Amino acid sequence: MVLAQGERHGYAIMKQVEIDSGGRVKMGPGTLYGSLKRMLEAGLVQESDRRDPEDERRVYYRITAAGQKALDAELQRYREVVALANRTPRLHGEAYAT
Amino acid sequence: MRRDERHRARFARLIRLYPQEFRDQFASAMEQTFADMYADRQASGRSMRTFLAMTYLDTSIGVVKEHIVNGMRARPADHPRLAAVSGTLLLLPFVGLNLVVVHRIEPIFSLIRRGTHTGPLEYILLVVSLLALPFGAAIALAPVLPAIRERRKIPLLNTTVAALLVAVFVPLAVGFGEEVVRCDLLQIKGCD
Repeated sequence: MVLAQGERHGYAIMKQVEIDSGGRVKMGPGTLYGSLKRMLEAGLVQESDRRDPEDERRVYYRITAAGQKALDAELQRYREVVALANRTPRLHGEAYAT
Repeated sequence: MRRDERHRARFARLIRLYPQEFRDQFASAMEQTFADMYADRQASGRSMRTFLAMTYLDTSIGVVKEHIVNGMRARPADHPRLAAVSGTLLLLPFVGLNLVVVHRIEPIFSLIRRGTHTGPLEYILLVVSLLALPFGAAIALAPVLPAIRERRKIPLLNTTVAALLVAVFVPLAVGFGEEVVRCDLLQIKGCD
């Protein structure tokens, strides 16, 4: 989701995840690069050609078309779950009629 | 050595524990990320100890996870020794079953044989453990065929394990098959 906002390097992804989640999700390098590896293998993200002039080791990643499609599908699924919850009286905070 | 350099060196050593392929792809980026995190944390004036503990823990979990993922993806053909060991391990169910039956090891013996004759559960276990033998031989042989095709040195250990498993399987399967035909299909009296 972070990469849908634009290309980012590892640390920038970590910081953006923390900001977007209101500080609830804090990733370490092990979690981040493990996830990136799996997303790269699945073709959801790819390395960008962009390099940081300050440090060549900073690799930028960007979302692919397949990644964007998967993200859209996942967001749609979440919307449907929320819509279903809103239609369900008990989950919506209303008592069942007896 | 300065404290931050010492921590970076320690993190770099931890990264060396990742599988080779993962290291080749991400090691330098991870070191850079750690350096960025370290500098930010230091500038914030918050506890470095908590930061370091959490980062090392997260990375250590990552190391274990990547090795597990790699192990699950490993093809026998790429790891001759692992294939030979896996093939040999498939001999164990048959050996175990025979030990239980011959030495009447309780309570397993009573579980699989309820009465004086071979019961259905014992038959199933026998067939499964027998079929595990050619399966084990196939696993052990998996690295041999690519080696022949690519004209590399044939792994002797794998060939030996496969030959051993086939040598155990063939007479047993023939004997077992013959007994099933005589005793169960033809029901010849006193065939046991």
